[in-house]
Amino acid sequence: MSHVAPAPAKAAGTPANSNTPFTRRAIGVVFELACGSSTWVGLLVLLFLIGILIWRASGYFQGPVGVQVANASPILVVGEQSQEHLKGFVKLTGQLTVSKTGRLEFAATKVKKIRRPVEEIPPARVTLTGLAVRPSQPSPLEVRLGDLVVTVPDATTLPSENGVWQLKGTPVLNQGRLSLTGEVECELVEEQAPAAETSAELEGVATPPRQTVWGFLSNSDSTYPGQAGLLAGFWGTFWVILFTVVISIPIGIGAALYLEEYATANWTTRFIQLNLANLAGVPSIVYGILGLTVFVRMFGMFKEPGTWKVLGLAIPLPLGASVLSGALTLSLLVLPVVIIATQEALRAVPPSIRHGSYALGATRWQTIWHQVLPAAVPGISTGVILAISRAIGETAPLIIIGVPTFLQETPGDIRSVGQVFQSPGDLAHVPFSSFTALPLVIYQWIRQADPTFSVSLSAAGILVLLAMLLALNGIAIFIRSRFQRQSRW
Amino acid sequence: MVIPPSLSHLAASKGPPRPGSAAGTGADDELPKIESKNLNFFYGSSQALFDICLPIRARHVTALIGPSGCGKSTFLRTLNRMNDLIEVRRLTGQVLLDGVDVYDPEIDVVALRKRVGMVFQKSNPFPKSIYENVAYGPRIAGTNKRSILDGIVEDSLKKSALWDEVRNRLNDSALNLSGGQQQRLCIARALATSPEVLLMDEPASALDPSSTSRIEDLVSELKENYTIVIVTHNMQQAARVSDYTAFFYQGKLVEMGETSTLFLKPKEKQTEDYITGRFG
Ligand SMILES: Nc1ncnc2c1ncn2[C@@H]1O[C@H](COP(=O)(O)OP(=O)(O)OP(=O)(O)O)[C@@H](O)[C@H]1O
Ligand SMILES: [Mg+2]
Repeated sequence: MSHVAPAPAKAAGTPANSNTPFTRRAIGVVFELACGSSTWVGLLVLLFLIGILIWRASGYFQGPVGVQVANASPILVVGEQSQEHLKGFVKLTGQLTVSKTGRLEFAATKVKKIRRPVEEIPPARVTLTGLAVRPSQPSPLEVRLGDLVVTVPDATTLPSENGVWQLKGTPVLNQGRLSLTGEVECELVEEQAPAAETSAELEGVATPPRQTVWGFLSNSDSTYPGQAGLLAGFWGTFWVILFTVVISIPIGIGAALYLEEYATANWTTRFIQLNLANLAGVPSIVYGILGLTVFVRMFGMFKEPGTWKVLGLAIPLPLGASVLSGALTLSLLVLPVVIIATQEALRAVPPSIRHGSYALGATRWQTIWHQVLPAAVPGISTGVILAISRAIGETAPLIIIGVPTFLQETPGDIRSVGQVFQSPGDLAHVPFSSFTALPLVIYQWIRQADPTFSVSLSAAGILVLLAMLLALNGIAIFIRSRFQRQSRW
Repeated sequence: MVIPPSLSHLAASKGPPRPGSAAGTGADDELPKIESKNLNFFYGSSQALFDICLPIRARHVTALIGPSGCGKSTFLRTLNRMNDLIEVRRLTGQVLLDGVDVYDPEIDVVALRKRVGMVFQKSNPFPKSIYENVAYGPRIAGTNKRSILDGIVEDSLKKSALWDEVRNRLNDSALNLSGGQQQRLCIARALATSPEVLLMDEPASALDPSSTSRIEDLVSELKENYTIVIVTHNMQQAARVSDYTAFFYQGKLVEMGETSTLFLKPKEKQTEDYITGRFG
């Protein structure tokens, strides 16, 4: 007791007091807390982020945010007061007016949520009133609604006199996107008759703009939130990343092997080494500009875009914003990272392993191939997969090289895995097809005014992207643990 | 000398017998198997070996002793040209293996290292299975038939006195073996390419007494068929296992002779001081 008290007193005010057992322990605790809390804060933020994404996306998959009447655009939204639950559906009665811009408008207040699931959608009935134009041929009949012309291709009755007609058929709206089975009621007039004020009555069942998760994954992008999906983005990303891997791994590992195992340390190799480190830090948008000049436009060498026919393939020249251009651009981006990671993995293989191999009469190549590379696989694969994960999320370079953000076609028109086996010939077209990528699709959705796109669909897309990254990192961890069990030294 | 049955398939698998190999005659034993003549070695500009003339007798054990940093390992590595891996180095003089200079530009280094095997001070098994460790040498030499490899692996492991301990777990990782077992595995690995000369750089320095004595027994057995050069810091070990001993000091060969003579009646004062423990 008495011998403890003088110690702080003696040390008070001098630097030596930072070395008492108490301060030592206190500093230890503070550091542990600081490091621990940053870990926990990071984890919490991540969980919070994922939670928000799931919450936002789930609204889209579980229940409607708005109510869509068939495929009318924009979405028809009906008032909460007027909604009448009918087997979980909302019955709509209202005025549908056709605006000059070719859009169908429906005045009503918003429905926030319809909780009951949709089981079965009875066909909506739409009654269009307008002026019918007598066609030169008996069919199809055109109905003019304001500035819009609705074609009724399979009209069943076609009276020969003027008057009010009842037509049964499928009206197809040319510019707007109304495609409903319904009745068309119209007045037949002479072709030169002036366009009158027209209106359409719509009586139908509201279907919410939503789909199943599977639908979301298997549909291409669409302007209707109820039909928009990730398919084109998924396949685009898949092919671009596959080609990036195929291009960057052999080149990257080869370059690293050369620099580590063959090249002697001289001025040139030191210069290359320094630049690799710099290149790994160059912003990705710079690689986009490089890719645009070199691959997409090919320095403008080709005055007119042409094709180069070789082995039955039509290779477009310059390459344009094709899968191949994207993959080459992303390869430039990941190569420095792959090379540096591989070099570090090779350097971590102890020299004693190499010496053991040489002493048994192995050549340099045999030593590298049989001993050094297998021992470096965990390090190499981790580095490569981290680089690839980065490439998957890259948006800027792809936008720069001109990759479309809205595209419904998949590269080579391959829409399913089965198709690859059924017609492998399609694969040859993949590298030269245009494509879009997951981050670009998400970017396009986020920019939309409609919250179904900018909130729900984009959140769902980000979740898919995150899931892909996690899967890749899982593979990295698997390879690591798999090879590391063998290679302890 | 007759090839023991356990060795016969090795002799068969490596093509025509070489002069001075295990099939040699008694007369061969009188000639040095490997001999350095006026050997100088430089690391960059600093000289590590000075004018070494050292004959090494076939099918005998030659021990290299001397204080740390005197150039024992450097000398050992000149014998199978492992020093080639050092970037800035220079060598003058000759190393004759069966009368042929191994530094002749015509010489195939890979073939040389198959004839002159090496065991390192620190055991360095490959991060692979026990089987693959031993089979690696023959494999890279072009032997791929599983049955032949199986025979070589079993034989080499038997010769290095490891077979009984690992026969049931040949596919386990070599890194799971104990330090002593790993070192014996490295010996087995060196034996699998059926070398004529075996260089051992302090093979027992990191091992416990019982593992050490197993390795010593092994050396005594192996000298029936192999020419062995062993570096050691342990005087008793040198006295126990070697037939000849060479004493190195500061890069020079001070004295070389039969082990019993060198230890009991050293000619040089430096040798006497060293073996009696007065320095080093
Ligand atoms: N790779 C190298 N580069 C430069 N100098 C070296 C290298 N290896 C060894 N030397 C030097 O050469 C001399 C001889 O070294 P060597 O390793 O042959 O000694 P040694 O007798 O084996 O010693 P020890 O008993 O400690 O293993 C030492 O002075 C050492 O510093
Ligand atoms: Mg040494």
